Order: sequence, then C-alpha cells, then structure tokens
Amino acid sequence: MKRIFTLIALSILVGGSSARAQESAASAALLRKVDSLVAFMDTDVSAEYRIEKRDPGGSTSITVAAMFRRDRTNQFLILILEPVSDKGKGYLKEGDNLWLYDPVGKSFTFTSAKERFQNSSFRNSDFNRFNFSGDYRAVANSREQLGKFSCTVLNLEARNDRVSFPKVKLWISDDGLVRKMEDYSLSGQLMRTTAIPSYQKVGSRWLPLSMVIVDHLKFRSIGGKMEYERTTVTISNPSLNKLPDSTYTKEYLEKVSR
Amino acid sequence: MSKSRYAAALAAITFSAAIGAFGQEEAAQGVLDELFDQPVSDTVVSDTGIDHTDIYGPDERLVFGGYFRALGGAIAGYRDWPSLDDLSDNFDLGAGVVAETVVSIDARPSSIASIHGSFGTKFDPASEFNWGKFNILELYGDYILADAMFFRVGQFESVWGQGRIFNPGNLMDDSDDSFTIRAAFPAFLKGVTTYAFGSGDVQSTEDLSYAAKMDLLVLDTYLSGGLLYRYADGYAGLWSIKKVILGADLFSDVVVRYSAADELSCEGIAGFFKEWDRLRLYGEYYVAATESGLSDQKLGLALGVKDIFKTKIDFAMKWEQSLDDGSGIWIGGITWSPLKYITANIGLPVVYGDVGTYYVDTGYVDTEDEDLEVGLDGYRVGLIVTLLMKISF
Repeated sequence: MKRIFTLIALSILVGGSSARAQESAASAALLRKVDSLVAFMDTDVSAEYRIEKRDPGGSTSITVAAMFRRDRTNQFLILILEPVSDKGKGYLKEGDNLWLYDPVGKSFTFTSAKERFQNSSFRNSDFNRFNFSGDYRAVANSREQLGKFSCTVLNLEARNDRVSFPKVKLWISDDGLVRKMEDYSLSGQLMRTTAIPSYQKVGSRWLPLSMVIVDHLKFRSIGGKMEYERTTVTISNPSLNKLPDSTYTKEYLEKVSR
Repeated sequence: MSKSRYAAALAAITFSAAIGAFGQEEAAQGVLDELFDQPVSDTVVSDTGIDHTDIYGPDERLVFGGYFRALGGAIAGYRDWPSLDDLSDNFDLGAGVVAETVVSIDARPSSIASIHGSFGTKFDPASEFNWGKFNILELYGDYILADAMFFRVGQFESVWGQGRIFNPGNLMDDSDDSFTIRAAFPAFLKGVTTYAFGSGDVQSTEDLSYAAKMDLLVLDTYLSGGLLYRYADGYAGLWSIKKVILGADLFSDVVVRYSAADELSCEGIAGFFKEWDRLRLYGEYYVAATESGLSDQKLGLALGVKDIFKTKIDFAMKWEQSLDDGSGIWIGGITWSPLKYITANIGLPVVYGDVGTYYVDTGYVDTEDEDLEVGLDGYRVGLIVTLLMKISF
C-alpha cells in the first residue's frame, strides 16, 4: 500500500513539474515570437517619433525626433528635430551605453541607456527593439481579456541588471504583439504602465503606431483625483532605407548637431 | 505613553501606510485599459523610403542666424572683510554694460559636406564707444570621405576631459584660437581621432600641436587615452575612466606632462555627477604633483535646482576649497527669466582665506561677468546683479 502511495505521489510530482516545464517552454517560445515580430534584423529602420509629455495638472511639452535603428548590431541614433532650441542634439547608442552630444559644450557625455528621454516617461532604452526572451524569464502566466484583445499575461523577472526594470508584466495578444506592459521595481512597486493599442506593419515587421506611458512615480492629487505624468508617443513615416555605417558614429552625430 | 500604546500607535501607522500604498497601487492597476476598448486597428503601411538623415529641409541648405546680447550688471561688496567700526571701509561699488552681436552661417550643400561660421563684434562703452571689428569665433568645414573618413578643417573648439569644476584634462583648451585639422576613421579605427592645430603665431611645423585620442567602451565602462605633443612644450598624456553606477557618473582623469626640459608633472581629478529631474549635484577632487611631491589639492561641490518651490527661479550653489592653503570660495545664486529674452541673475560670493592664498588671489571669475569688467574678481564678499537680454535671429 505504501508503495502505491509513493508511486502516486511521485507521478503527481513528475507530472506537475513536467507541466510547469511545458508551460515555461511555451512562455519562452511566446517571448521569442514577441521579439522576432518587432526586430528588423535584415535592414535599418528609421522613423519620426513625436513625444508629448503632459505633467500632472497641465503643462505639456512636445519633442519630435528622428530615430535610426540597426537591430543586428544593437545600435541606434536619435536626432532631435523639435523644439527648435534642441534641434540637432543627439544620442548614439552602442550596446548598453549611450553617448549624448552637447553642441554647446562641444563634448560627448557617456551615460546609461536606462535614463529618461528628454525628461519624459519614455526612456532611452525604449527606442530599442524588444529583447524580452534574452533579458527576462517568465515566472507565471495566465489568460486575460484586455478590451477587445484576448491576451496571454506573462509575469517576467530579469535575467540581468542591464534592464531598466527588474520585473515586468506583459499582456500579449494572440497575434504575438505586446499590448500592455507594467514595469515594477524589485520590491514589486508599480513604476510605469505602457499601452500599445495599435501597431503598423512595415515590410514584414511591426512598429508601434502609438504608445501611451503613465509614470506612477510622478503624480499629483488634483481635485481629489490622482493624476499621473502621461507621455504619448506617436511613430510615423517609417522607412527601411539602408543607412551608411557612418550614421552610427559619434563623428556623424557631431556633424549634424549644431 | 505605555508600551502597549506605543505598539498600538505603531500598528495604526503601519496599517494606514499599508492601506495608503495599497490604495495607490490599486488605483494604478488597470490604468490605460480604456485605450483597448476601441483601439485604432493595426495597419499595414508602405515603406515611405524617407531619408530621415536629411533633417535639414531644402530651405535650410543655407541658413543665416545669430543673436544680439546685451548684458548689464552692478556689484556691491567688500574687497576685504568689513569692519564693524567702519562699514564703509573696503566697500566698493561697480557697474558695467556690454553688448555683443554674433552672426552665423550654415551651408549644407550635401549630406557629406557642410560649412559653419560664426562671427562676433562687441560694444563695450568702458573701453571704446563704438562697435569693434567682427572677429571669427568659429569657421570650419566638415567632409565625409567614402563614408569612412570624417574631416573637420578650420577654426573650432575641441574639448577633452570630464571635469565640470576643474578640468585639467582639457589639453585642447588653446585649440580654438587658430586653425585645426581633425580626422576620424570610424570604419577602421573606431574611436580614434587625430588632430593637428596651431595656436598663436604659427611660423613652421614646430609651432603646431599634434594630438590623438582614443575612446573605448569596455564592460560598460568608458576608457579614453589621449596624447598631445608640441615641440616647445613636450608631451602631455590624458587617461580617463568613467562608470555609471546607480545612475551616477563616477569618473577620473589623469594628466601626465613630460616637458621639453625633461620635467615630469601630473594632475588629475576624481568626481561624480548625478542628475535628477530638477536637481543636479556634482563634486570633484583635484590633485597636482611634481617630481618633488604634491603641489596642489582642491575640492569642489556644486548643486543646481531648477524651478525652486515650483517657481520659475533656478538656484545654484558652488563651493571650492583649497586643501593646501585653506582658502576657498562659496557662491550661491539664482536665475530668473521674468520675460521672454530677459534673464536676471543674482549672485552672492564669499571668498575666505589669508591674503596670498589661492582663492583670495584668484577670486571668482565668471565668463559672462568677465565681459562686464565688473566681475567679482578681487571681492571678499559681494552681491552681483546682472540683467541679460538675448535675442536670437
């Protein structure tokens, strides 16, 4: 009798861990699909980004930038087009590092790619393609309806400390596109929510059409209601033109930044 | 209060804090979900083929611009510590005004070639009651050869070193008053830039300076090495390192000079820089040494706060201290732009130390106030008020 109980217990354990392994493999496969849908590995991609930041309580600032991305070498270059006072200011990313060129001081500053872009909730790292399968592992999954989208919800934990947020929760629609992200601190505090309701397909890959980001660390109570800093990013005029290698260099950035 | 009351109060505070945090977190959950009820459908768009590198439109191929700047200021202060017996003793007043016009031209005939020039003239009633001649501030051309070689030729400024308070690493600080040829080859010598420049009266190649600098990123750490040679001065080498840790820049520059007279000296800085949304904080330690030992040590700390108390006033404070002779300087100031084109500054410097010490001798020199010729140089304690009008065209 004892043996029978032991066998039953063992098979439940084995069965359970096998189910978890399958679940984990399915989540990993889904993350790879998510990444591949938005990665332009065979060409450069460039587009115009309009970033509108609204502070809690009112004031709005708008930045327009040209973005150039080469996913296969993990590089991007950002050139500010508006406001006019910042026109030509630029950012160059190489790996996890970012060079900022200050045309006034005629100098480059090396900094972390995790920082905020033009003091908005949009981060420099948000110009990157997604790399969830490389940077995170799924620790839980479930199904949830998000408006008109049926989504798989994945709770992710970072595999490395290069990422901006150690924990992320993703809502992935059945077509493999990330529709919503919640970014958390290590202690589990919600830091930022990003919604990507619509995408645009360019060639065989996808770019967000618009994104809305809410920063949960920047809020004010206005009329008894909590208002958060809200950043709306609109991406337009995508181009798959191949760009010269020299585009992703400090020298090029300096040349155009004045 | 009894132990049990303490415990009850603590529990209440903890509970209410937890409820507050939970409430805020709860309110944050589900935020933006309304955007998914009727979103714009995903679309397939055609590749626009737009050349986004062409950030300057056809009407910006040849652009003239510039600015007019008028600066007025007044200072009141003591050239030595005030005495309670006679408050007028060592008291001094000054005022000045200066105007400047800078005209610039940008010609961008193609994506591989461009020319930039800026020319300035000053009106300083203290020295001469008319506008001076236009001087070349910058004039240079950029050219990209075969998508692999970048050249910049002309008169322009190059900056080395990382210091914001002390910058011994800027070995190129006299490169902007004459011509420079700069070449970079990112395609096959990534991170290497070479320079040849003249400074002052250049009669032969021996009067030229030759320099090269290499920048590297290794394990998320910035490393840089530079070498400068001038026949009359000998060699100067710069080694830099920088690492971003917890959002703060930690950096160091070391400069070693080997003069034409076979003398060895070195100086360096170690510092940090951290920036928040409205706050900047940075500090540096400077040290210099010769073959006979340490020759100088200084500390510097600066703080800048934007929009203090949610006003449009910015506050800044800087403190520098000589560890060798005990002298130092503290300056606090505010900046306010009440109207478009108009900026008001108020500064309050205090210089301490014995007569003959570094900061008492050097005083405080600000580049903008320097133009006024009523700067804070020579004051122990003072108040300077400046009004700047700057109109770009």
